[in-house]
Amino acid sequence: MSDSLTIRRTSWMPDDAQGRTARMMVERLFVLMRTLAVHGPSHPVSVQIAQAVADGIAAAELPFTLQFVRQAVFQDHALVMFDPGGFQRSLRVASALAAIGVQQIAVDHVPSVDDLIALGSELASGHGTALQIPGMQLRAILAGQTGTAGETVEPARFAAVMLLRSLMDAEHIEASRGGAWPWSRGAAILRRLERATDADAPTSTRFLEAAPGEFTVPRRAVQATVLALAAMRLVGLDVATRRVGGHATLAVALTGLRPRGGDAFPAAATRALDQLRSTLSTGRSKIDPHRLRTCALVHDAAFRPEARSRWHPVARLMELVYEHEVLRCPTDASFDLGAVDLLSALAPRSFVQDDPGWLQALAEIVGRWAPGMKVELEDGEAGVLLGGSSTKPMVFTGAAVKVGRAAPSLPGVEE
Amino acid sequence: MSPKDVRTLGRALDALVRTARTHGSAVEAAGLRLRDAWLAVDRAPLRFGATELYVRDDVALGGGDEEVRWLLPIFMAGLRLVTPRETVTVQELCQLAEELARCEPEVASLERFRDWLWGGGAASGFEVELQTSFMEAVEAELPEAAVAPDGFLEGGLSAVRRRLAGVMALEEDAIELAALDLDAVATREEFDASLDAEHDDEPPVMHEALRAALRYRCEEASRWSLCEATAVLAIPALQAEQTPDALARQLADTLREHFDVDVIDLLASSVRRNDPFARAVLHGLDFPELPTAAVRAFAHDADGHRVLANLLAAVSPELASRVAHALLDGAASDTALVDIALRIITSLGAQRFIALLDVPSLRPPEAHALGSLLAERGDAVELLGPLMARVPRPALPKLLGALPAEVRPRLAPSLGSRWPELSGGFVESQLAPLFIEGGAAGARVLAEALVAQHGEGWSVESVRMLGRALVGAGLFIELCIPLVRSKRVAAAVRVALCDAAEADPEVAAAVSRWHPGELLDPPELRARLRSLRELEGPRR
Repeated sequence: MSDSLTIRRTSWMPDDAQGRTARMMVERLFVLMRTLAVHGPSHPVSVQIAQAVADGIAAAELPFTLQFVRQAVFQDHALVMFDPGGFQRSLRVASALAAIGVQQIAVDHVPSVDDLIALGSELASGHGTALQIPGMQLRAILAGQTGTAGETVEPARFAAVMLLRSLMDAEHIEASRGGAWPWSRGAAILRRLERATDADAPTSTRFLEAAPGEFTVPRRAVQATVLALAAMRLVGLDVATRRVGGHATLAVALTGLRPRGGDAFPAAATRALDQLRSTLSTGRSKIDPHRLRTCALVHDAAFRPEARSRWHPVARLMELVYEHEVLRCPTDASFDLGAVDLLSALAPRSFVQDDPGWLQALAEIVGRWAPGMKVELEDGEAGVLLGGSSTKPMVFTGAAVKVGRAAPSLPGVEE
Repeated sequence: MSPKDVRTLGRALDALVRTARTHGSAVEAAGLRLRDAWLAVDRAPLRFGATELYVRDDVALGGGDEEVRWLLPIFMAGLRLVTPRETVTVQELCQLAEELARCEPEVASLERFRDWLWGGGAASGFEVELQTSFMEAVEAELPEAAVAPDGFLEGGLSAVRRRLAGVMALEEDAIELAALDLDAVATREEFDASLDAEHDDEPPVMHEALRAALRYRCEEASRWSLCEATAVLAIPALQAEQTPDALARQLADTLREHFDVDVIDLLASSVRRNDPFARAVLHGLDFPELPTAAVRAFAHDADGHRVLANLLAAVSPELASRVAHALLDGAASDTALVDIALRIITSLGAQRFIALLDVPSLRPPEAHALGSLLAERGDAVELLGPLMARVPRPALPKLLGALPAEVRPRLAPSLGSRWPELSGGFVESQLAPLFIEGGAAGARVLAEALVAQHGEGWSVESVRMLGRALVGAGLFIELCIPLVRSKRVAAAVRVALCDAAEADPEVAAAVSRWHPGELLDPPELRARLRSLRELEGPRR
């Protein structure tokens, strides 16, 4: 792996040792498949090729697993690189394997030549017979679930997986808290959250909120990022701005949140900036606009903590969702607050007033008339919202449950 | 667009990437050829396949036996479509080619390339379509496998189970259950109502106008520009990005729209800490409206005086002078700036502040503001005395007019050398009254000037006014009788002095007392003296 960004004079040929076995297997299975298609199983050339496959396996480090996922091949979970010819052959092998319902080959020990000829014959013919080969397990990987960004997978499920993967990555970052900021991992989290939102926006905003379990720092940081992304999407910001705002939110939240509560936002931003700037250099002549703007946004809040009104509006959104997650786990209480409590708690905060639009966006994402919210009806009577729709909110006034005729106002927000 | 043009485009890109590979950076001549080739196909989108490049359905590169090895890693990284913008430059084409050349068949290299594209690295010159990379194939194509029990990917299900504290029974279809049961999970028992209160038919909370306003403010180019420029100033790692000149230009453009006191503060503080980058930026930042915009912004900032003092200390003498003038100009109409100017004078020292000024270019409002600012000071005469010789003629009355009456005459000696210049229609209308108001001392100063100049250039009205003041102050006889009798003084001036003397019989008698030289005086003066004597008779 090259660490530097100097342009190397290579032939663009893969030379990673890890994928060598996969490349050998693909080459030899391809030749075996073609030979069997032309000469049949009993031809000496076919036997010779099958023997070559067996020899190749014998020479490899066992056990190993190969997965064929769309156009990619993985060996022991690592992506395998091919030259263009090898890539074309891998597609042919993957296609033949898919035809017999196989996406994964796990090899424990060297199979017999006869078994390899049987496998090659099935690949050549495209007719699978649930072949059982000692030393080699052939299986489908959750057959029928393929589909980019929830295309054929149920969108909510796809979104949930993306969120869980983001959570896992956030935990990786949190584990090295205080170290240099892993831009690439941060970007990967953002990409997953984007895919989750594209697939199923409501699930994306509610999944981490509603799923049971402890509200850890990474979970709250990812949730803050999800809310920031959703708010920016609702307002209609362009994708580059959303990514910058999301990444900055993630960095500040992962740096500033504590198991209970969290640091003041400007202090969190200052520490996040230290982390972000320590890994800014990419070795390129120019730092990409995403990194530059992410740093700029975090810096905006860090360098003038008292002048909130001069912050970039996206920095004020960052503060809102950050405080949302700080408040979620109050330091002076042993319980966690839910979405409704959080919205109500945030509304009267002074910093909300600098950009009340963001709170309205948050309210729209979380749910406009969240049960538990204190509201005032048109007749002046106050009560607690039980549910209902925005046009017919059910309000408990102490004496009765009333169905309001008009929408009550959001606390702290000018309509 | 012919197939030949398409192939030419493909070959031009291939050549650029290969030269970048060979030389370590792209060659501009090859970049020019690529630009021309792209223009020849009307900047058509270039579609990336695993082993071929296409423009629409025509193969631009690859196909057949021809292998283009550098394409595959790029395809694996997820790049699918590149369309040059109208504004694309040769440098941007070269940069893209260098990034393509850097993309090796290694996961780390692919990720770097993908991150660069995702982060908008090519956004200034190109529109880019990026799809899921091969590295993300599993979670995008087989999402359940990403957390499947057999640990297809690192961590897998066990990691998820641990994170969610085992409450979710993450068996084969656990994720599906979790997702589908969200509504149930999201139910608050105490109210037995769903948290999911959003329905398609409900009107949005946010009015579209509010969204549009927020969107505008969030995406305003000048805000981002300012935000970025500030970060570049503060973060040395970002300074490799831009030359100080370019940053200064960027800042100047944005400060014209959004003048930001904090940015100026940062810049000035950095200069005072001997930051050479900030110094170079500040040096290049100057634009004509800067001083005015700055003082206006400082006026409405609680910390404005401190930042302004910092700025004055950090910038070139020429710019400091312009800022000081703008401050005086602003103080003439904005009381907030008067306060700031007073603070600046206190903190810098009046002497130092005055030294910043280009006195000969002082405009009347600035002069008035300066006079007002120094009016209460005991050392006003010492401070302003040395300026008197250089204050421009139109500004002088404003400066003196802002000073207390008792101060003005004390400045008169400093004006001595300028009487010839100040006379001629100017003195009588503006300057003289200021001295006359100053009482005896002021009147004496003027009278001495009048004597020294033999009344040359003085108007009749002015002389008459001065004469009356001198009569009132008891100085007429001492100072003006020699003038009345001087043959060097114009007859009109001498007559005007006689007019003034009429106010006091004693003075009139002294003036009209006959003497032999009168025989040679002009007839009008002799007539006026006669009339004074005639007036004197009835009085007796």
